[in-house]
Amino acid sequence: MISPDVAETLIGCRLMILQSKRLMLNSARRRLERTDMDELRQRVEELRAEIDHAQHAYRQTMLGYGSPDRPEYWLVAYGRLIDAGSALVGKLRLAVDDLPAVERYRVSTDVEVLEAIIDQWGRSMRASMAEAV
Amino acid sequence: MEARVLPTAPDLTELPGEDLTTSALPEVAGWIAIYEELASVLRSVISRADGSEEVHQLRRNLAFIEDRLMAWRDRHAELAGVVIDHKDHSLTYGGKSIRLTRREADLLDFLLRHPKRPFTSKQLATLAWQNSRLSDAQVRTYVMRLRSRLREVGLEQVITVVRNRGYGIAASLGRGAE
Repeated sequence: MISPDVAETLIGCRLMILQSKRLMLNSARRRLERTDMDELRQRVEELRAEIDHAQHAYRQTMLGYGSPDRPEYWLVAYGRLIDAGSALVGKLRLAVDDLPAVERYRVSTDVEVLEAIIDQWGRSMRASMAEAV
Repeated sequence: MEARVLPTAPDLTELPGEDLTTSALPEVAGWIAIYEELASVLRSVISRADGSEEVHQLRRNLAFIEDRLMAWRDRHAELAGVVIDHKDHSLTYGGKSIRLTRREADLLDFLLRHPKRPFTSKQLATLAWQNSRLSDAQVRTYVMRLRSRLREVGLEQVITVVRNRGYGIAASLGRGAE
């Protein structure tokens, strides 16, 4: 277990890394609009992957060490739940047409309930967002 | 952990020309993996934020996710055609039956319920047998012994070894010798 101070520092560092990567991507994209170079295009792709990685690290740190008293914690928690839930709904929807009736019925019910839950997570996330501003 | 097999859905879901025997095994395994991920995030949030207003609702969400997870795990076992009777630790597959030890039955049941995921020896010891004192070598021996027993019912390839990641269940598992 780490102390709250260390946790805050860790989260702050992860967030700064993520924000820096985003700034670098924006700058690279603007340059790419002006000069279409293969090298730049490749850099943009690399930065996108680095942002995904940085975002994952930030979320993991926030979920693991962040304080639930902060709205940012809930932003990350609901964001993570919505991502996983949406991925599941997407997979279920894609499969549903090719499934036999037994599965189709069960899957359709799952999709319906999951969509309602994801909606509710979305509302809670927006409330946390308003609180964080 | 008992392998609970869901009853077959009522006939009213069957439409003319419908093929109810189609195996949806790979899809089901994929859903189980994401349901597990969702449940794990929910559990982690609930444990950290216990006592907050949000948690009451999240607990209800978790109850639904866990219920579906259980149901899809059962369905996966049903589609795989593997039946484990925990009373006498017998395994039936493709019309053949063998007696396993309790440890072997628990291990196979655990792996079948968590498809598409490799587990290290340490994880298996804790999660399948609730015994963290078993050494890696002991787990390896149990796995090898189980694999050898499974050969008797034609399931020799079902437990796979994923290099540096552990043991898992083969994606190609399906109703055998029907």
